[in-house]
Amino acid sequence: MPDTFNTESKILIRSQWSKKLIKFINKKLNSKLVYLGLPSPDAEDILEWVDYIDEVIAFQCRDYPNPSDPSQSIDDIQKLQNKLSELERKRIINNFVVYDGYIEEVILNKKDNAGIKFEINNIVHIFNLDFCNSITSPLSVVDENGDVKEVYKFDAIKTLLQLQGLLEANPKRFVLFLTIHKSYEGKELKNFNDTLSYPQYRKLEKKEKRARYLRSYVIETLKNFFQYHDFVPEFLPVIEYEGVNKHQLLHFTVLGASKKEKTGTAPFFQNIPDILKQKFITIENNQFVNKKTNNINEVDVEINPVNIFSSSKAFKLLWATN
Amino acid sequence: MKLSKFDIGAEIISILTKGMYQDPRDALREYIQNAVDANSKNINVKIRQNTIVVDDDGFGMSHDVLRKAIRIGVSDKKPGKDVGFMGIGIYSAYHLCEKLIIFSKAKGNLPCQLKMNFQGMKNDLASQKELRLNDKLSGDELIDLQTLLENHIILSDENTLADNEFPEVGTRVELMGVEPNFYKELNDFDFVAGYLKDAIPLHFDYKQFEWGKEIEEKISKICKEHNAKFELVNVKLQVNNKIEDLYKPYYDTDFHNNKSQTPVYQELKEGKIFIGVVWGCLNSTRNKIKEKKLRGFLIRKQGFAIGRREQVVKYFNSHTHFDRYIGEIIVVNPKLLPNASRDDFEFTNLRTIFYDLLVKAGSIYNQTSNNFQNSTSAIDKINTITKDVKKINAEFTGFEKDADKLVEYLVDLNNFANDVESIIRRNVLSDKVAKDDAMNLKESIKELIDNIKDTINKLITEKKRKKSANSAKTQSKKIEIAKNLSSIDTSAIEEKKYDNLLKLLEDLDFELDSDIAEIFNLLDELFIQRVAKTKLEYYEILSDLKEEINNLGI
Repeated sequence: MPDTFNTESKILIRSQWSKKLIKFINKKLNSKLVYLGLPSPDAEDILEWVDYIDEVIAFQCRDYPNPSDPSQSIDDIQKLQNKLSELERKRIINNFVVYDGYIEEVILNKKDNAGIKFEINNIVHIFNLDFCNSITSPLSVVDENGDVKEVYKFDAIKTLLQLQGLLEANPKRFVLFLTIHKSYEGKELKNFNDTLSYPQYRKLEKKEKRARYLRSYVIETLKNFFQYHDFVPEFLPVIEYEGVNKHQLLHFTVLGASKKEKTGTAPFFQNIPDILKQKFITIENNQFVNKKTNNINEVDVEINPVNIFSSSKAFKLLWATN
Repeated sequence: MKLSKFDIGAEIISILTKGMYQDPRDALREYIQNAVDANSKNINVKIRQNTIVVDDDGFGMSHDVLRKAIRIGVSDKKPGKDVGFMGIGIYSAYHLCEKLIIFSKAKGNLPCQLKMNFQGMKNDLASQKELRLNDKLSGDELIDLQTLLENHIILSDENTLADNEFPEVGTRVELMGVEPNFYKELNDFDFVAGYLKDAIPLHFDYKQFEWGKEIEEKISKICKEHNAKFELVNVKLQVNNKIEDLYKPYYDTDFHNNKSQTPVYQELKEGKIFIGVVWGCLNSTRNKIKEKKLRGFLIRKQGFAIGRREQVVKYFNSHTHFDRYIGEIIVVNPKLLPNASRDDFEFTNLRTIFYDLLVKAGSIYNQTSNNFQNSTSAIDKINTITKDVKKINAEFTGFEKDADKLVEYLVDLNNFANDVESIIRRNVLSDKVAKDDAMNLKESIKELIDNIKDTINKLITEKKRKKSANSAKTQSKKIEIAKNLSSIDTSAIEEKKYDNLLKLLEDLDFELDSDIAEIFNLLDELFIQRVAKTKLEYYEILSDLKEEINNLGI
């Protein structure tokens, strides 16, 4: 396991993309925020955004990427706990909980490896799902009956949205950051890809094609999850960047706001083909830029997340007013 | 002879703490007590994997005060004024965790920090035990307490911590590396919350217990009048991600009908000695409190539980009434001190006075419960009678021809009248409404009896007219019978009810052999029973016959 997933790009996204949005949400909601995510033992995300965070719900596995085992070292968990405890002592955050295990196994087993029951009691404002590995590859976990089962990260996201939807407090508004590895086994998305036709992608080289298929898959899937649980999603342009060991990563940003429709699922104010026509944002010379790709006509996007979001229909209808 | 530091072995720390804090929750209580003594208003207890934090907003400690807190068996706390004063409490987590870290800040001071490496102490003691087992260490070489503490306790120098390390006044106690077995127990929110709700001075949950606010205000007022300290704290308990404000464990739903009676207060006072106040809420029915563990009274000293409820029943002398109450005995007298294990008070004359006063208070609560029991029994009786009277009232009409029925009504109504009269005379009804109900019922019965009597009179007058052929003597006898009937001497009516002629003869002490008895039976069936149209007429004929036989003077 690398000592850190930090790269210059990662730091830039954290400080110049996510932080701007979080600050904006904090101001909009006029209160400090509840964070749920995988902050790493050094809690870099938390430290970067701490001015806007009141409470932290964190997940920390022991020996990434190996399956959880009680014999593995607890040092990373302890390190994260100590870090968060220090913030709590300094009265910088108000509260925290650290779950021992992978997010998908804790959420789907409803408890962590130390037996701590997983539950969400307050609206989560920041979901930071920094997976950095393939969204489509399952994790084998032992369930409460002792059976081995395969769980997917998307199952965890679905459950999180469901839990968030069940909370009584209103209005429910949040941002979800999702970072995934661009690689996937072709067969895993085959069924999905077969249902879609993107003739413009045919001309692209394999890596570029794959990134766009993955984007369409993630957006289509998240859109369904959001709407099913009465949240209106607003997708911001996707950032494509290089992580540690030159791994290609995609960073998704989705803003959610609750809107219960008597007649069925929550509305969706965007248009998927329009989103898929957008250029990826990428990082050059420590700056966000629109990515240029040959053989395809894509639309330029704004690179300030707050400007993009605040000009959206979802913002005007669901966030601009209380 | 002069003793030295080597005369106090290091093992004493293990012996003392193990003996005093057997339940891991006792250590939590100890740190909360320290927070209460420091005048905290808000205390947060956070239990997380391997870590426990007790955070308060009390006075906090300066470097000097924190230095003194390390001492064993020496305390600056004043016995009586503060809950803890024995000077061992800071070590209460010795068996519970590997490290204890305390951050504290007093007003106008920089924060300070104390680190106690319990695991290091335990390792040292374990390794010297091993050496002793292998005869590699003599008793004289055992480590002394002072050295052990010096080796494993670090108090930060003054002014080494920046203000932002612990920015607000108060104290934060961190128990790091909690032993897995203890964590397993403390990982259960309800297990910890249940203990703390009884053990520490919490507020009532006003929304769940209707008398909560009133009781707090009343006790505060009484204590204030006696210059006694009575303070409560807000405690928030977090076990992993479950967080709740803790309150005293009393709910309206613990009482039947989801309500209790008005609280009853008793001051525990003898002459100028004020010991405390008792409050108790009696169940709204003659039943035990639903929740077994809440039945009866709990003794608290400055909010902290002393012993268990069951131990108090002996001063109330009756489980029946004790179990119908939820209550507390709030001891505030500074001279009445808890013993080391906090299951009773130290044996003093004051303790004797306290328990004597408690017996007196207990008898008052018993009496209150007893009165309530008598009152509710009486109300139940009144309600039953009211129902029965209503039934008779509904069935009875002024045109009733069945004399038997009328007589039965009168018998029942007279019994009811006697019962109601008895309830009124015993004065057991505590409620004015119930008293009024009883008086009204009494009047209703009387009125109904009069109506029935009138109907009987009319019936007899009619019969008299129809039986004009009867002899004047018989006629006058019937009038007499009617008079008797109308005088409602129901016991006399009952006497007249001979089932048959033989019973009458038996009553007159005639001894009949079986043949003669058979003949009388035939006479009864063929003549007397055929003449009588109703049972009442049959009784009348038998009564006349009895009179005639008596007149014969046989």
